Amino acid sequence: MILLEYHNAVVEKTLAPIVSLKETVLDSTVVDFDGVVYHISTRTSKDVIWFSLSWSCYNELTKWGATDMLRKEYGQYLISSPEQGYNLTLEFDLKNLPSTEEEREALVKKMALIKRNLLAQPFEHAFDQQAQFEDNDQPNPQPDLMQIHYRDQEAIYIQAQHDRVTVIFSTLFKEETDRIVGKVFLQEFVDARRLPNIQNAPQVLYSHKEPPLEIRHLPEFRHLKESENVGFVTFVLFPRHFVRGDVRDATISQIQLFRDYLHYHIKCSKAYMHSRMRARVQAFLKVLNRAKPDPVVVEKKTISGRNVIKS
Amino acid sequence: MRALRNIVDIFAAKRKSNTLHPYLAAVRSTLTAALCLTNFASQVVERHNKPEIEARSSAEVILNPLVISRNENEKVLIEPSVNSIRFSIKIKQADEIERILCHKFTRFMMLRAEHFIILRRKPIPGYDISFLITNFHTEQMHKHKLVDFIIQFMEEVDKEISEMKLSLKWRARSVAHFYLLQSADEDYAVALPSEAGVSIKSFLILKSGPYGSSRRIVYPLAGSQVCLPEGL
Amino acid sequence: MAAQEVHQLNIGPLTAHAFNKDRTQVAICPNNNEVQIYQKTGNSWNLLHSLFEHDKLVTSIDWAPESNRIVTCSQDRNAYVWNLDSITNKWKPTLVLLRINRAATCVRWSPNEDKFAVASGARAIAICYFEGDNDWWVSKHLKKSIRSTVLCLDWHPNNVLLAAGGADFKARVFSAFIKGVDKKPPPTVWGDKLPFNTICGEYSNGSGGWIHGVAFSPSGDALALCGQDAQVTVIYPGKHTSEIKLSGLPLLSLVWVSESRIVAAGFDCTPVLLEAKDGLNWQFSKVIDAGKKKTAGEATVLNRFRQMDKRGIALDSESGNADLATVHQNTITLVRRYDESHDHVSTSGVDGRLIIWGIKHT
Repeated sequence: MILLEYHNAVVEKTLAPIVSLKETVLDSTVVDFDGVVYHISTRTSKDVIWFSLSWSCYNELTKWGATDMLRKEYGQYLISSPEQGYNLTLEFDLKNLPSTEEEREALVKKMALIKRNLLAQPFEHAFDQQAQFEDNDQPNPQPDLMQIHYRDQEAIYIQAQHDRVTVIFSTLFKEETDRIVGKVFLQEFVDARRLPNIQNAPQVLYSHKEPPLEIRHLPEFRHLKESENVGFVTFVLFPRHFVRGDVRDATISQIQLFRDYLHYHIKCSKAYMHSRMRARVQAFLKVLNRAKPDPVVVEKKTISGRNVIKS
Repeated sequence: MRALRNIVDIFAAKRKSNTLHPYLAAVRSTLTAALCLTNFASQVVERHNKPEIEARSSAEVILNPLVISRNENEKVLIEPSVNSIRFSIKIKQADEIERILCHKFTRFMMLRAEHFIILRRKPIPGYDISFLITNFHTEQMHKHKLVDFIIQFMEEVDKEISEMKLSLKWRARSVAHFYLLQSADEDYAVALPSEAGVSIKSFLILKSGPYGSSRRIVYPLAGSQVCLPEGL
Repeated sequence: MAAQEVHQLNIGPLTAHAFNKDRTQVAICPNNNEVQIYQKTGNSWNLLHSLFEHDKLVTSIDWAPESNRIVTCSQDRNAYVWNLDSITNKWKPTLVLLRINRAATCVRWSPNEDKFAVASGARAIAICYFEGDNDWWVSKHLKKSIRSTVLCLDWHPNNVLLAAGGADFKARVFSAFIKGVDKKPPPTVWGDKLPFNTICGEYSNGSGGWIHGVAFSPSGDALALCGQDAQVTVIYPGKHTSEIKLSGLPLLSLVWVSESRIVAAGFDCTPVLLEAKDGLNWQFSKVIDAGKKKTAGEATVLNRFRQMDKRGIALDSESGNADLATVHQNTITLVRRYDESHDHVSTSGVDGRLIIWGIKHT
């Protein structure tokens, strides 16, 4: 499996009672990429399911339209005061759900995509702002530089410009190996566009330790330490990449998962190298074993008088 | 992949005939001569019998160290003494990737030093991996086979590292193409090694993507074969 | 050339071996603190006695042919003289007061069997003799100008002179004259006035290196030494020194089989014969064990699979067979004269084999 899925399969599975309308007792904590934690539980009675989400950048996301999106997409289930320790909570009353199974399946699918939908809002906002540049009837907007600190030390920066939208990932490699392997991967992302069939894909730029111009003024990069293994990956999206509809949705989903995709494959490479080294070391051991003389064969007799050859 | 391996082999053979062969031959004969070890009890500490090359307690039982160098990046250091020798290898590392792969590989081996018996847990500074062979090892094992092992190790460790590098680059390329090709609007079959670098067993047809329109098959690397499903 | 007799007495190394006078018994050390005595019955050897007294590796054994005493020394810094108790038929040890504080490396009875020398890592050679008054073996030390571990010893036939080679790259001839034990010896080529601790000569091998083996010629007029430099040096004091450069690996031990023939052996796993043409002109003569073609071992299917699993290679494939072509499968550490007629030598080595070679004139 080379591509990652956008939705969270565990959430989808755990919320199965919504589809089947079977009463169950639930209390599970599910994690997702980027430190997202879901809490799915039945509190008061077996037919009311609570779905809570916590994410460190939730407040940043609300600035760029997450609240509107929630109201629009999940509004009827949203409860006003979220569960303690979580950013938002949805309540599903099994007695009060869409009547057809297809509709309920779609609802569960939508829940499994809630993280994607939340993070999609800044992108939508940037795309809208870029559209204003294109539209001669509207005044040119002051494009917002949106910062979403979606992980502890990593962030996404999104900014619309008059003919494009730039998305910048700051990415941190914890170990030297990750950094070097990551560099190989990112270099391939940059080089891939040379191939004729990928020329229309978004342009990818990579810089190590040097923040791109768009975000260089930010205070957090003023004192970037030499030792920090920070890299910056810039995606340049042109309007053809975010034509409203499927294209736009696909682009957003894909870009969101970029970091996870990259790190997933870095880990895969390391695991592969590890298994390869294991095999090679085993082979070397066999070569070394050739230096050991054959064990002397000792013939022993069991009580019943059978010969046992032991070496 | 087989074609690729053939190419690698041809290159390896070519290199071998140029400088690798005399280099390894020199290492082999020097090592054979240096591996003339006897049981020698410490003359400094009572009732001790320690590898003199590590203990370094008396100067007269330690011979002059010797460096055999193929080039500045590839050399071996042989430090003989009366009852032990230390053999250190500096493995070729052309770039950052090879450096990290080499480091990982040697570390992996050194963590298993107890299985390797003659492997030192720490390399000598300036070298990547060190062996410590004592008279007890030459008593238990065939000396000529020990030498064979070291020579084979030297031959194969280079090959292993360049193969790992190749497979890493290959995977990186495939991964990048896949990600960006999600955007292509034609069906693409991209051959992927089932376990990068081993053999091609799988291929993936990408869903139609929104951008780009060129009908071409991506070869991750020259020499690989792409299997197309019927009807494509 | 007479065929050799091969006896596998241990799986690991044999650090030393010594035959009794009629060569019906042999004392060996199987690379530990034990001394084993084997009795020859027919063509095989049966373990007769195991002598446990040392607590570290036994480095050297010598068996006095006439007085039937065994002396052993070990890395535990001690030496024992063993006497066979005729009533119980057991070997009884007597501790020797060596007064050395490092490993003992080599021990040899003097020709008259009234004293023996123990080489040691304490930069000294202990000359031990029996003191009847106290009923024990005492020692006097030869220390002069010895700078490192003494590795090998050989007695001159006159019972007084002792040759020793060591890790200080030097071989020396000492006087080990003990008042009360020795009578004043007649003058030799090595000197005429010989009080204890006189250095009669100091020699080094051609290219330097540790001296692993020394040996006096049967007449005592010449000394041969071999060392880490893979050369044999033959010294006729005051007259002539012959250096024989060999193409192989270093030699560890050597023995004269006549005034003009020397057998030496070492890391090449085979003894070599050196001969003197016209008395002084020493040359490499031949390799005694020329080696034979490897024969592919018979391999059962089970064995083949086991080999593949353990070594990644089948036993009978070209490089799978680890055996050497020579009879000794590993370094030869000791060459000794086997019989008084000098027709045979015995060798033992790291492969645990004791081999008796016929080296009659051809």
